[in-house]
Amino acid sequence: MNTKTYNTENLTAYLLGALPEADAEIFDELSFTDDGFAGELSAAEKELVDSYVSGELKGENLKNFESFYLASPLRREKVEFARNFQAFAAKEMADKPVAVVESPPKHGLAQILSNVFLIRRPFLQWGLAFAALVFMILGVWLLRENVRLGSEISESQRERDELLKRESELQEREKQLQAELANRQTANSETEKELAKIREERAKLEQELKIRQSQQQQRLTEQRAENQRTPNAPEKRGLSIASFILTPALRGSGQLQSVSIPPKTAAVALRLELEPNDYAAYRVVLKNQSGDRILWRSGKLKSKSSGANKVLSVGFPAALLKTEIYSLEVSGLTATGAVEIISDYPFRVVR
Amino acid sequence: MQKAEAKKNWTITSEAFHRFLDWLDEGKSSDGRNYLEMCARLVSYFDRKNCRNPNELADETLNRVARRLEEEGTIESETPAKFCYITARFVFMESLRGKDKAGVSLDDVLLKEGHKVARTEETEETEIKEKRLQCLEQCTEKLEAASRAMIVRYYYGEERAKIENRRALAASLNISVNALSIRACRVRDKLEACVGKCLG
Repeated sequence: MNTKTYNTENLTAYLLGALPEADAEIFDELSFTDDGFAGELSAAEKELVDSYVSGELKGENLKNFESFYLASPLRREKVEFARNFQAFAAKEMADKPVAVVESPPKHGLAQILSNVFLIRRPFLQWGLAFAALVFMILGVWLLRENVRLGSEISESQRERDELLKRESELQEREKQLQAELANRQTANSETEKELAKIREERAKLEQELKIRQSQQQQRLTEQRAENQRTPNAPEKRGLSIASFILTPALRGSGQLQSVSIPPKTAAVALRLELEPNDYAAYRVVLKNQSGDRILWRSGKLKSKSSGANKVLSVGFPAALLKTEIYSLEVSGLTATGAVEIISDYPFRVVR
Repeated sequence: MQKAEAKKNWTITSEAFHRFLDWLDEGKSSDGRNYLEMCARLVSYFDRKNCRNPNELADETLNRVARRLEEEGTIESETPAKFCYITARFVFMESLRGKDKAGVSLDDVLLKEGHKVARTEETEETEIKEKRLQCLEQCTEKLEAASRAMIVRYYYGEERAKIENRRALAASLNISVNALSIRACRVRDKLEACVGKCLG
C-alpha cells in the first residue's frame, strides 16, 4: 500500500481496527505527516459514526464498530455527539427549511433580503431595505462596469495578441531577409573575385597583344624601310618577294595571322619572332593544314636580334602556297645535336 | 540513573514551550494552531490504539519532543510532524510494556453504561440531553451563517436522500462532494470542540 491508495473502504477498516498491522502503521504515520490524509480520515470517521447512529451500518463493519470502536470513551463521546447533532440538524431543517437548505446567506441576495424582513423593528427594517436597494443598484452598476472592463480587457488582449503575432511575423521575415542578404553578399563576393580575375587576365592579354602589335608594326616599318633602301633588287632579278612577320601562335587566342600574297609574287620571306630560348641554331619546316605533309624544309639557321627579341628569317617559293592554312614549325638544335620543337606559326594564306 | 530521573522530572519552561511552538510552525507562525492540531492528532492516534489515557500519552509525547528540542537546540533530522509520530510510537510501545493498553471491550462498556444508567435517574438523563442540545444550538449560532447552513443541510436526510442532498449541496457551492465532506468535517470539529467546552 502506498500513500495514494487510501479510500473509504480501507480508511473505515483502519478506524475499525480491521486493517493489517503493516498497513495500519502506514496510516498511523500519514495521520501525522499528511494533512490531506488526516482530513480524509476525520471525514471518514464522522461518516462511519453517522452511519452507525442512523442505523445504516451493517454486517462486519457493524460488528467491528461495536467491538472495537465503541471500546474507547472518547469515541463513544463522538457517537453521542453525532446522535445529538443529527437530532439537532433534523430539528433545524424542520424549523427553517428554506433558510438553511436552499442558499447560504453569504452568497444569495434573496436570502439577505428575506433575512432583513425577519427583523421586527420597522424603522430599521426599512433602513436596511433601503441600504439593500442601494447595494443592489451599486451591484448592478458594478456588474455592468465589470462586464465593460472585461470586454475592454479582452479587446486589448486580442489587439495585443495580434500585435505580438504581427511582430513575430516581422521578426521572421527580417531573419529570412538577413539570411537572403548574407547569401547574396557571399555570391556577389565570389562573382566579384571571379570578375576581377577575368579582368586581370584580359588586361594582361590586351597588354601582350598591344606589345606584339606594336612590335609587328615596328618590324613592318623596318621592312618597308629596307625595301625602300633596295627598291630595284627584285626587279633586277625579275622577281617579287612578299615579306611578312609572324608571331608564335598564342595558346587559346584563336586568332590566325593572315598572309596576303599578291599575284606574281615569286617568293615569300617570313620573319619569325622567337620566344626567348638558348638554342644555338634552328630548323624550320613548312607544313600543310593537317600537318601530314612537309612542303618545305630549311637548312640550319641562326637567329638575329631584333630589339629585345630574336627573329629567324626564312624564305621559300610563293608557288608552294595556295589559299589555305599552313604552319611553320620551328625546332631548336641543342649543343649535342638534338632537335626539339619550339613553337608553331600557323597562318592563313590569301591569294 | 540520575540522568533518567532528571528526564522523568523534567518540566517544560515557558522558554522551552515557545521554542517548541516555533519549531512546530517551521518558520511560519500559526498562533498555536499547529500545536493544537498536533495535540488532537496525538490524542486520536493513542485513542485509535485503544490506549486507556490518550490525553496523558499525548502530553507525554509532546513533553519528550520539547525536552529533546531543549537538549539538542534543534531537530533537523525529520519534519516536526514525522518526529512527533516517531516519538508517539515509542511512547505507545512503552505504554504497551506498562500494560497501559486500553483493551476495553464493549461488554465492559455496556456494563458500565448499564450500571450508570441504572444509577442515573431518567430525569437526569433527559436534562443532560437537553443541555447537550442547548450547547449545540449555542455553538451553531456562533458559526458563520454560511457554515451553519451548510453543516445543517449536510447532515440532513437518510441513506439515498442524504446522498442526493449532499450532491445537490456540493453542486450549489460549486465544489466536489469530497471537498464538501472535508469542509463539513472541519465545521463539525469546531462544533464538537465548542460543545465539549460548553458541557464542561
